Amino acid sequence: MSNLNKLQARELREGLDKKDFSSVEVVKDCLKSIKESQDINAFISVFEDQALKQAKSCDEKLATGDTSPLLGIPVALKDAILVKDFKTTSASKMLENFTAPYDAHVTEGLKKSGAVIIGKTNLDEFCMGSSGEHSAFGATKNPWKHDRVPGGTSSGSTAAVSAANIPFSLGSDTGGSIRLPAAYCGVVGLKPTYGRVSRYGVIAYASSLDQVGCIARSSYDTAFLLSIIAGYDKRDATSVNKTSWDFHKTISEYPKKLKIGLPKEYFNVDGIEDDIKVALDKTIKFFKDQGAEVTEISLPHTDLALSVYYIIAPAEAASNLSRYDGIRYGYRSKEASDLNEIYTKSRSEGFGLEVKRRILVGNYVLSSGYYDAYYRKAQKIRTLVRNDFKSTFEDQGVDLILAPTSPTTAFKLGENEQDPIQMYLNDIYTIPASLSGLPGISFPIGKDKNELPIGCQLISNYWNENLLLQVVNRYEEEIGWDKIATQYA
Amino acid sequence: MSENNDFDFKTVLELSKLEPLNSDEEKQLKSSFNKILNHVEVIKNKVLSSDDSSLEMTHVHSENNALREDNEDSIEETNMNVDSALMNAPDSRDRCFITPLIIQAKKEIENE
Repeated sequence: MSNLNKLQARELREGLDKKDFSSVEVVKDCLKSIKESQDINAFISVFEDQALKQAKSCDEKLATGDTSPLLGIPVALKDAILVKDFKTTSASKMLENFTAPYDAHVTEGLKKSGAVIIGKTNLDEFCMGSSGEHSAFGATKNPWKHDRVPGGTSSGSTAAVSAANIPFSLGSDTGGSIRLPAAYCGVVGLKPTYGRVSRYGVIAYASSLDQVGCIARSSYDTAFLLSIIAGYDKRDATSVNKTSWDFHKTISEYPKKLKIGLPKEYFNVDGIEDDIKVALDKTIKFFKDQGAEVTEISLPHTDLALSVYYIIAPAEAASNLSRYDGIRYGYRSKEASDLNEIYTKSRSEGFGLEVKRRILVGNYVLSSGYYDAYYRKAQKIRTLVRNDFKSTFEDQGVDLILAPTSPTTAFKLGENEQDPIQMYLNDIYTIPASLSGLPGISFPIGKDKNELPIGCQLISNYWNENLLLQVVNRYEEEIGWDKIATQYA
Repeated sequence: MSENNDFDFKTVLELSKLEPLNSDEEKQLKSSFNKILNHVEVIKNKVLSSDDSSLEMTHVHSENNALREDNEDSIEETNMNVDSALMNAPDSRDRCFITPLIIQAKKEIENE
């Protein structure tokens, strides 16, 4: 068989178990595909020798009857997730030479399950951005059209899956960093409930929002990967001791009753492209035809969510990134002559423009005289945003909220570079769920007039990732993969 | 946004231990800093109800944080050893991080 990189993880599992092909063959095809699509710049590092060695070992284990769930299947990780003894850069000059001293919790899970870690993927520096353009290692390009952005910040993880370099990958989502690129690249991206997946060993950006999640070319593969990484970890104080289960095993259980809410604040606004509206209308009709009750809802504080996010996230970023001082690890300026200069010059030379921008805003809103007016107020309004969702799910009995993932499809590289607010507006539909810690999924529902993928977002109540995955799975099965955007389906 | 914005920008740069690399970067940073603050001004101006104490948030959902036991054993599990901690240090010697002089600048000492 050839082009094994184009198979989904589920098909790879079956083929490997039946000995239709070996893990070494799969990894070789993935490595070939990565080389052939090098111009999209999805990877910061590729572990060619290590991955082949690991694949060989997986084949030996398969021969002995080892049934580890991901045994022999390749996966890539966003380069903000630690893999012991390999570089983890967070796409920053600051961490260009940083070697991870330990594995992240999710990396441990992948290793334990037998996955072959093939490389680390590109991202917006320290997970700050919406386009995949803010990387010290160069912008990632959208595999569909190379003059377009893939979306960020999990740009490389998403582009690599869309380009069929790998079947699935891990990313992280703070304000939409999995869902937005998934929409732009025509793949499935899931942000789990805050606390579902441990962030131990993940480079922090905004700790009250950061969450690790999965990117794949189907809901099944997304569920398969989530089953591996979800679970309690005492090393992350925000990890919740909640039973996780094999999400992929229950994915065919479509609910008998389903009430879908359409937030009027998301639909009745200017700025959503017409093609996206049409694709969403068709998707809504699909779920109605499947028996769902569809109703208009209101999330009245939606208009404040973006501003709340761009106060809270920079504030947390300013605090988290204060650790980069050029002393214990990371970049140290050669121009500094005393300690204060080491701090200032190392940080000024080591951080990129977007990171500096957010640190400045963060320190401003946290400083004396502004804290109450900005940060404290933003935290209170965050509660109002969360209460909007709470009321929808608990009082109105809505099971799922359906919404656009983004107001536009992938825009041109450089188009929003000079205007941070225009760039931030891309996150307008993903941020409210992030502020509330709710799980959300983006899945492809068609293409626009420029042949670029369109994403649809579903948001559920806490801990209900199963429902999100089941509903998307039904959509994929009924519509058929050939009619959905995913490039290599 | 403060009326004395230039002062704010310089102060916040200092607080952040950052300095623009050149005048272009300074212009860009200053302009985007102002744009972002203008955008989030809506929060500052938002009037909340008189009793907003119930809006204080400690966690996004009702689950409690899962804190580890506060004892020596649990700390040991997550701590790195000295070699691991030093492996990414820009400069180290004798199992210590090397930093420049803190109290006095080098030149001052040489002049003494």
